[in-house]
Amino acid sequence: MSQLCVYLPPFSSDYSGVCTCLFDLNGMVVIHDASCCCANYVSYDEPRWFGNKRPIYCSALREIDAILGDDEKFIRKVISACDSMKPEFIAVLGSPVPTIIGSDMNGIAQEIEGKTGVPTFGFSTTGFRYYNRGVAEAMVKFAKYYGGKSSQQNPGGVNILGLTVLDFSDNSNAADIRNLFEGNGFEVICSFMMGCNLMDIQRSTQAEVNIVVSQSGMALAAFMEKEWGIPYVAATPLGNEGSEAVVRTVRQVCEDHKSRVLHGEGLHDGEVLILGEQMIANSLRNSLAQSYGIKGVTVGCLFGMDKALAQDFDIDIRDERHIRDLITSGKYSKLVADPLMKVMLKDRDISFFPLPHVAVSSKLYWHRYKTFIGDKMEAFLAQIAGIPM
Amino acid sequence: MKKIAIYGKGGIGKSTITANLSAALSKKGYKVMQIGCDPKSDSTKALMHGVKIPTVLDQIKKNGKKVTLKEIVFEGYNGVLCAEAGGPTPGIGCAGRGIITAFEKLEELGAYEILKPDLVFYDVLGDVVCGGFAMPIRNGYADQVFIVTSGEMMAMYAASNIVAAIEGFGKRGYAKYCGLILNSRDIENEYELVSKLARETKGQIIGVIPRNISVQNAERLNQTVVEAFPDSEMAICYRDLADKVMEV
Repeated sequence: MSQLCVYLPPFSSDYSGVCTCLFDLNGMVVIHDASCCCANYVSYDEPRWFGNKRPIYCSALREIDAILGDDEKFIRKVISACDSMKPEFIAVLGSPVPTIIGSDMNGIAQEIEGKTGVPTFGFSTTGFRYYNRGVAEAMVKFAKYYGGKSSQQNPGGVNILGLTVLDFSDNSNAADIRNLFEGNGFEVICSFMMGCNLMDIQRSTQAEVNIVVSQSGMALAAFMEKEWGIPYVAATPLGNEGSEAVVRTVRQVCEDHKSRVLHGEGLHDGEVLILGEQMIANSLRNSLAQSYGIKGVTVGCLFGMDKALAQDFDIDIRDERHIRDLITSGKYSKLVADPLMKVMLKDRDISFFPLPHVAVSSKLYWHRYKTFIGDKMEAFLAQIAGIPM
Repeated sequence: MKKIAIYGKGGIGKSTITANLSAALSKKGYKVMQIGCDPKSDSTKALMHGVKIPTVLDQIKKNGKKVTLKEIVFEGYNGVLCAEAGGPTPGIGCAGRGIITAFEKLEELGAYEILKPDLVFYDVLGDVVCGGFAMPIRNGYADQVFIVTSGEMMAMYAASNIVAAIEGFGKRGYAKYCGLILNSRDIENEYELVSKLARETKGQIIGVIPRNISVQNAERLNQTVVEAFPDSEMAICYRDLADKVMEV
């Protein structure tokens, strides 16, 4: 029962992570499910769904299909849709039922590709893992397949890794991040995976540096460094000074080709608790430390903790009860988190600073999302620091 | 790394043959790993000298996410690495899903990269009854499948079904069917019957294991024949079969 969620909904899961990554590409995405997972993605995890038309299908898996393991029916449906849609690629995604009955999504993908000649990607998504796992897998799979076809390097060329609506919503954040680097003389070759196309992914191997803006981009950063020798900077540009710090670091990495994770200095546990996506939370902490002298900031990672990004005292959040225990520990006087968590404070003397996150509260606050770069975020940081603006 | 799945009807002698192959190949200098894929969890019993090792699923149940490789892979006779996937409580749960979970755990812990076996044997139960029992022949696991059969009708029927399942998965790049191992039950015209099955399944008999009391004697000692009676005819027979398996 310790894992029971009383205040929070289930966070976005891996199939939503894959879908959101592939949204901007000209492919056909099929979730092998009974309709609920697909409905969950389009209704709650994809701010761009409304007002856009994208070929995202569900297989309408039924009990008898699961009992009989009728993959053929699924394959026939996908091929039929492919004949009319003429997609550049097909992606077939698992969900809880295919996971339980052991459907081999990679094997199914191979069979579809053999019959259609269209590149087909299988994702063993389960619905039991967080969205960032799906984002990471989709980015690596597409970079592996489409990347590596170019040998020339583009000086000043950068990729942005880990940019998705589940972390950055559908406001100006994605464009602001691209504009930040282009305004500073860089060419953004590919922004994985918002506002990019297959050609951009193909050209991504020309980049001089990768900029990882969320934890889900770390797997692709490590892969591209190993495969194509592209170093990376791991930090989300936030506010004014924080964004400039990232740009400066990217310039430095262009010079010495050494990967860097931006960490603040002299940090310690306590005072401020930030609950959320690890990279964004880290970057908030860096800005609070560097611009406002707030050094006691702990990051609570809601979607798994990457040790390479963490301070010793950071926390890998297990479940909702773990959050409640942290709130009642008396250790923190300020909490930065999705607005849904405010109710968990009850009458505790803790100041709350709302930071909406699509992967947590879905569409409840996605139009009230923070603008990550610029004055508004700077004002938010100052508010946390208790400095009147 | 060569990865081989051994299939066949329940009780046909898969585990005995697989354990003897593992023992014989380990003596030839190969680093061998044997993974039992049967809820009964007795594939590696002879290699472990009768010691029942904790299964992957037992350890996941006990320790959750904190399972380590040392808790699920054990060194048996002559350094053969032994693991048992395990299964649910009889009568409930899902054995097929159990195999998948066990395989995913071995992969997650980097078993193949860390232990670096030259050879992996997957000793799989009875028949390809559901998705879980096809896991060992999926892309990335076994490359080759050998099927153990006798000349008995039910054993050959099961073998034929297994071949059909493997062929059905051909479009997905799964493991290839590489032949039959005849575990003799001394029935009339046994070799001819199994030869006919081999022709019908476009396969071959890659080895014949005669019926011999030394198998039961070794079993009583909780050892493989290769270990217990290394100079016996049966040990020679298993070593020959091991050579043929490596040649295919």
